[in-house]
Amino acid sequence: MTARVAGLGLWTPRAPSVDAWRAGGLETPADEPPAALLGPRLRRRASLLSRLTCEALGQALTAAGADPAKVVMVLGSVRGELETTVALLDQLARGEVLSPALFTNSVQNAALGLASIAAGNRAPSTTVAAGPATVAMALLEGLGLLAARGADVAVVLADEPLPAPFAGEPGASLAAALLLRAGGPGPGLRLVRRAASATRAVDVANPVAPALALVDALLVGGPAVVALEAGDDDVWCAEVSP
Amino acid sequence: MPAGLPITARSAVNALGRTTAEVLAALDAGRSGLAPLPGDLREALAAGDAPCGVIPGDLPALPRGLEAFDTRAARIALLALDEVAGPVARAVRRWGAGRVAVLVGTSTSGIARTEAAYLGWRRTGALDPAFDFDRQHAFHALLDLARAVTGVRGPGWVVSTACSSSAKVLGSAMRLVEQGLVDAALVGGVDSLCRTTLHGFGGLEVVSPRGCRPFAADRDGMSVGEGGAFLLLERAGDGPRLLAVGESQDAHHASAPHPEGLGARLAMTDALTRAGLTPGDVDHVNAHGTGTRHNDAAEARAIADLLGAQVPVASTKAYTGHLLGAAGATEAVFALASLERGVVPASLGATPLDPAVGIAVATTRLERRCRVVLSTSLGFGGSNAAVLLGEAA
Repeated sequence: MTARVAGLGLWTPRAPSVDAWRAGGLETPADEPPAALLGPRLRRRASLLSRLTCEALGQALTAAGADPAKVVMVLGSVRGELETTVALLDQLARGEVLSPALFTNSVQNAALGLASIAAGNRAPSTTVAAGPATVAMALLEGLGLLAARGADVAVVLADEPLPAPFAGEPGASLAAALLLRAGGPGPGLRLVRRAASATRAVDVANPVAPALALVDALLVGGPAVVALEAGDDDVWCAEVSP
Repeated sequence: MPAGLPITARSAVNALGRTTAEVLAALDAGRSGLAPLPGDLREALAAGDAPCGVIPGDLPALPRGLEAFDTRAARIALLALDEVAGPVARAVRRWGAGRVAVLVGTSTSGIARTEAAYLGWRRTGALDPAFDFDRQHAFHALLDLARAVTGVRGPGWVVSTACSSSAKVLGSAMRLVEQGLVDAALVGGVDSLCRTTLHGFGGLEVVSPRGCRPFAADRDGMSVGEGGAFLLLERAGDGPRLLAVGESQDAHHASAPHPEGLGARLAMTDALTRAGLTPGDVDHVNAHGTGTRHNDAAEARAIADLLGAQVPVASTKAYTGHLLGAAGATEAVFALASLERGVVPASLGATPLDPAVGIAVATTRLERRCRVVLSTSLGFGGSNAAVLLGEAA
């Protein structure tokens, strides 16, 4: 399946939009993903991962002119709702009754649940977690959904930094979104298994950082082959075509 | 009937037993696996005395070289994978290791181990050096473990959409086969008892103090369970078939279902449409049926609106407890048993039936040919899935 990438979204503190990324990033980091898609009421309860996800999603939908109420959504995230999980662990450690709101929003699909409520979207949505292959597998699932259903598919790749006590090294929040469409304008995207060639290193410490190399290739418009995971043998790569 | 994908092997382990045969024997006997937690587990989880679904006996230890993956969820996965090891090895030889996908649904992966590590860190200020985030806490730990013990090397991921997780992986598997990316898929669900879910549902005040009784007039909540189930899907082979998976979002509320079951109905309709079947083709529904007042009422409304008041419906939650991320795959195994043996299980605990549900809940075991069975899984975030299974060609 070859899809057209009809829109992109991006949020990381040093590049809170695709334009900021293209321009080389900000001097002063942005502090909060605005996630306007959620509206003020849902946004107040949304975790960092949910705000990251909805910010990148909203940007990609706008860029592609896609209908937020109809799009099929895929969230690729290695760690899921970790901030909320740690908040629950803390309540357990204190012997407190677990907060129903935190528990409800600790599921990995919390962000997509909120996005679906905000947009009145009853189309399918799903999550993908596959360790270092998460970006590739989320795109594979997105392409599969596009082939099976035909409707626009938004694939969001998002992770938050590891919190204490699990953090080894500092990391940055990152979310990137691709709006996949069966036809029309925009660069072509398909996944292939190839021996990995060197991909431009991206200095954002985040498990879904391979998404940034893909964003770069999509902004150029191809042709390019971008490795989406590390490895010595054949790995999943994105083939970008004009 | 559409072609679908043959299911050539399956396993389920949960409170009813340590093998699929034990589990199905208990289902036939109408025996609940729910019981208060044994003392050691109750202490470890700081749990109360509400009945839960615990796998009986000791769980298997991790094999040599894979000790770092040791979590309760990993041990459950090992137990469930052991039973399908032969057929999976044959599929790897037949199709090639890289042509077999692995897809796992879970809500919490190895979080029981994370809880212990976190509590220890809060007490001592040091994180247990044996705690391994990527091999214990992370979702992909179950993926890496399944690959290591089966030799499967194809594409794969974990779906974590709360209680619909391991129903949705069946849909992912169909898409991978349909796209020609794989020829077979090892698909399953795993979740273990842990503090987070026990106390989380406790905080929501939806846990039944005496054991869940789905669709009963005096039902008073759900029961948490643990378990694992795996199914092997192949492009060609003998066995009952996965016909379609329907999926939808409620777009209503983060934890409460749409009151009229709109999302559940959309998922069931989607499954039927994708399979080219009509509501009249469904011979039995394995309902999500958790036992909470609102969930059962909403789901019953969805079933009544789409499938009518005649199709026999059963919830198996009063046997196993709610297996959360493992519920979809487990209940697919129950649905396969109905197809193969011509039996609708008794919906345990459903009497006296709630007259308001307006559907044909099977209060006793029914012998009846089932050509097509629908299994629903509905979760937090408004995530719904409906798995449509058909008898062998």
